[in-house]
Amino acid sequence: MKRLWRFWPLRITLIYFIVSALWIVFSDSILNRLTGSLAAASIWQTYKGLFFITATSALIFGLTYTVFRQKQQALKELEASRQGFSILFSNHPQPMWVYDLETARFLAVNEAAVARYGYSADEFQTMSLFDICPENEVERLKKALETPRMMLQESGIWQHQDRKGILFPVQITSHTLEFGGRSAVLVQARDVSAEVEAFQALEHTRREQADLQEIINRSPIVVIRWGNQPGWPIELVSDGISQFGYSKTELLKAGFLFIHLIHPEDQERVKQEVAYYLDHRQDEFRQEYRLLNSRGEVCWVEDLTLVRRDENGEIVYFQGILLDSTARKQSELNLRETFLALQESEERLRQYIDFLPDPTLAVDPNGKVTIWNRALEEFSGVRREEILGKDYHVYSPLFYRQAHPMLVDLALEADHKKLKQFYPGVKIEGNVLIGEVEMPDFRGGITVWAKAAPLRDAQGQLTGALEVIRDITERVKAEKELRSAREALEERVAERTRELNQANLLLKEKLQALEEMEQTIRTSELRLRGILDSSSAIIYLYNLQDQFMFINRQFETAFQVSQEDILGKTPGEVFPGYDSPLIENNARVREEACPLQFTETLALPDGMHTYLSTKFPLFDAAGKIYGVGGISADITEREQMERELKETHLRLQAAFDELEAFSYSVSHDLRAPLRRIDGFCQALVEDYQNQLDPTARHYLKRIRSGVQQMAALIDALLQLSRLNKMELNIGRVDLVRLCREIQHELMQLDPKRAVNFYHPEELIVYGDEKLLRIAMRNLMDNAWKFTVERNVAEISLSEERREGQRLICLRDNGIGFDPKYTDQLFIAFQRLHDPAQYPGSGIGLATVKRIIHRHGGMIWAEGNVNEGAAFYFTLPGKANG
Amino acid sequence: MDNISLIFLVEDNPDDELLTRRAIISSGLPIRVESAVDGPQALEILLGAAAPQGSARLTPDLIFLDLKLPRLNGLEVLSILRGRAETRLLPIIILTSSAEKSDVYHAYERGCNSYIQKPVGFERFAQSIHAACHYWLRLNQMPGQNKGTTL
Repeated sequence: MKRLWRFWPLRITLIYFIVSALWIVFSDSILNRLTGSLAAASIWQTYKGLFFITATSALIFGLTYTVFRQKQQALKELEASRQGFSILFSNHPQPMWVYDLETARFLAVNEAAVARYGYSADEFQTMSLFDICPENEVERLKKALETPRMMLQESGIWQHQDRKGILFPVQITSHTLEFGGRSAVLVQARDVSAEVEAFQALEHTRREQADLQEIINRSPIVVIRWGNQPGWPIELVSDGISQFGYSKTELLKAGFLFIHLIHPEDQERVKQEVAYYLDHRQDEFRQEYRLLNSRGEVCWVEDLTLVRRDENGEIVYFQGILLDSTARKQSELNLRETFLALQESEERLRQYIDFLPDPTLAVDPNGKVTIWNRALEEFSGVRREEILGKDYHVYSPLFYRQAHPMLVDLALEADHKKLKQFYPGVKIEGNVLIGEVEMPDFRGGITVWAKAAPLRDAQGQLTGALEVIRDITERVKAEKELRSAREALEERVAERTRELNQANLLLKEKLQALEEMEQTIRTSELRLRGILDSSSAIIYLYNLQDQFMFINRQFETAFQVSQEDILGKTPGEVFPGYDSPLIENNARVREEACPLQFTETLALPDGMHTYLSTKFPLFDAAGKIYGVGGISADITEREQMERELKETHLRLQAAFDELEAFSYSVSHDLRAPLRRIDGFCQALVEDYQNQLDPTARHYLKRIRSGVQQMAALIDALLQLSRLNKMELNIGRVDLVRLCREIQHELMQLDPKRAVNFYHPEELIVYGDEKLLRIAMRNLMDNAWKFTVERNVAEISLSEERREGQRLICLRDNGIGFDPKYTDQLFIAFQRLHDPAQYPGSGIGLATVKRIIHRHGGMIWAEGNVNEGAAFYFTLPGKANG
Repeated sequence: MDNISLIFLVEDNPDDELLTRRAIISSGLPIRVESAVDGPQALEILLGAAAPQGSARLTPDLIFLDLKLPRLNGLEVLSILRGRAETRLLPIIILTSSAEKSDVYHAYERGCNSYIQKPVGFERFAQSIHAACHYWLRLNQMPGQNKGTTL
């Protein structure tokens, strides 16, 4: 009941019924009471009915209007809502559509779908979901359509294709709904291709990184990261560390320091280097040091370190890339050893060449001399220091008149035409040039046998050339003689053949001829024997068993033996104890097949004897050695003399040293007493002036003059003794200038003299000016002194040539000397004249002689009594050459 | 010039000592001459080694020193004198017969002030002595100069 009451149309109808019923029942009675008259009552009745209809009509209008308005309002709202949805649907930025759940046909699509899929809205109306589904997803789509679905569901990622057939991924969200009375699905398709691409790119990067990691782990390099704390704790390390026998976990353990891996001897150096690089802000550097592997073995590593810093420049960590360089280091060491060995072998080769008996030289590819051995120094007379590094333009004039390519240069060039031109006697055998070479301008013309070859290294590269020469002048001469002897012999043989032919005819004559021949041979042998016997050398021949086959008479005499005793015996049997050295020398001669020289010693009854022996192989006609010949000379005496000479030289040196000490004391001690004598004489003169008579004063004067003479003599002696130790300072000296200066000095000492001095304009010699001045001073003094009695003294300095020698002559017109005493002139203290009349030290000429000798010259005097004297001397040196 | 200068002579030969004295005196300068006969005696007198208080030490104005001396030669005496503060600035003249280059070189190297090779002739010897005395003694007496600062 209550529920009914709440339904308001029923409530309104009930209230209307009650009011209307009450109105009908009570309105007539009220009217009756009021009016009382019927006529009036009927009028009122009409009014009452009209009022009722009016009220009811108003009520009906009110109700109807309200219902109409309400309906109108609802319709309006519905339209607005429909329109809102449509805008949302069609303007949604993601593609959306509605499809029929049964047929999968599109019922509606929005603008985004049209734009994304490329079909127009009309075209969509004729299409189904299968038209945008690629073939490989059809099965999945069918299954999905059959599965019951929820109101709203995420259907995951699908592949769709647009009109052009391009596939793209979409994320599908669907919502079931009623559409046009059919059950349909509203779908939102979100294009996720960008996300998928990004995801794929991410995946790719991740894979690449993994690959890179893999590469690092598999490569021999080790990437290692360590912190910038003391000892460098390891923060990260690649798998490659296992090559050093360590595991990653082991190293990444807390407290393991990188410095522990480094060889203790290298730790300090590595630290210092790192500090240096950090100081210089070099954040990428390379180091090489040793690591100790887990077995404690040493490995060389090359480390490329990068320093990582944060934005404030603080070091975050170090990243090192280590590469095991042990093998490289080892090969470096090997290479170095090889190089040293090569150098040593080259040096050894140089030494071998140096000791080769034949002159040898080598040049580099540019023809510059690299080797000039000792034998060549001797042969050419030029030291290697002057030649090394020079080419033939410099040194060939030693051997030829002008610069001339040497054989060694032609071996370098391999120029046949040039070879023909310069060395017609040289042949080419392979790459070796070999043959005889004439040197017509060298040592008066010699012939050498020369051999030259280019030198190549293991790669065939030209590294220079080598030439060996041997002086065969003697051999060539001997060969020439031999040839002419052979020709003569051939002629004789032909003759003999003719004779034999004749002898064939005449047997008797033949026999006779044979006898004659035998006789000739015997004579010839005897003659040969005679020659050998008369030689002063000891000559002997050995057979191959080292038994004597022949000895000459000198041999018999020297060793007090007879031929019969010796022949067939070995040297050991003849000279007990000397078997092996003598036989060894023979063996060497046979081995080298050329003459060799030996110094051999033998003990004979009168003592040890030394022999200089030349031993030579004996060749038979077939060129085979059948024995050894020897020629020995006793050089015992020569050796003895050399020894004595050496001793004499030592004694002389000692004497010389003594003399030096002597001359020093002379300078000091001989002078001192003289000075005292002079001093006391002077004291006497001064202090006892009045007590001395003229004679006493004269005596004192004489004493003093004697002292002066003695002092001068001491000075001269000193000068003479010093001459030997003074070093020569050779230079260009004009003797004329020297003599004129001396003359000037002499004139000042004795201005009253009339002296004519004749001389050429200049006279240049080479010598020590100081010494030559002393010499010329003594000579001029002499000339000055011994011409004192002439009214006009004449002194001349001149130059002469005698027997190709340049002589210098100082001549005067003084008292001369007796030629008998020429030899005594130059001896110290030897005087030919009265010292009272011609005062002097008596050693002036001895001094001159010594000076000239020191210059390597000679001096002599020519003269006669009262006919003046001439002193000649030579001075070798530049002026003479 | 009122002061009498003191010259110290080191000479082993009494004759030479007498003659050198003679030569010095004949220069006419007011000079007193003291002498020693060998190196050690000279050092004793000049450095006062005999009298530790230093009262007996002799400070001459000029020293003539021979090279050839017994016991301690002149070059050694020269070295010792030049090594000691009290004698470092004294004028020392070598007076010797030797004209050896090595002697001249070593004498100057060790700090002698002059080197006189005694000429044999007495007159020339006396002249050399006079010249040396005049030069060194006058120099020392120039006003405003202390002894020996001329070094």
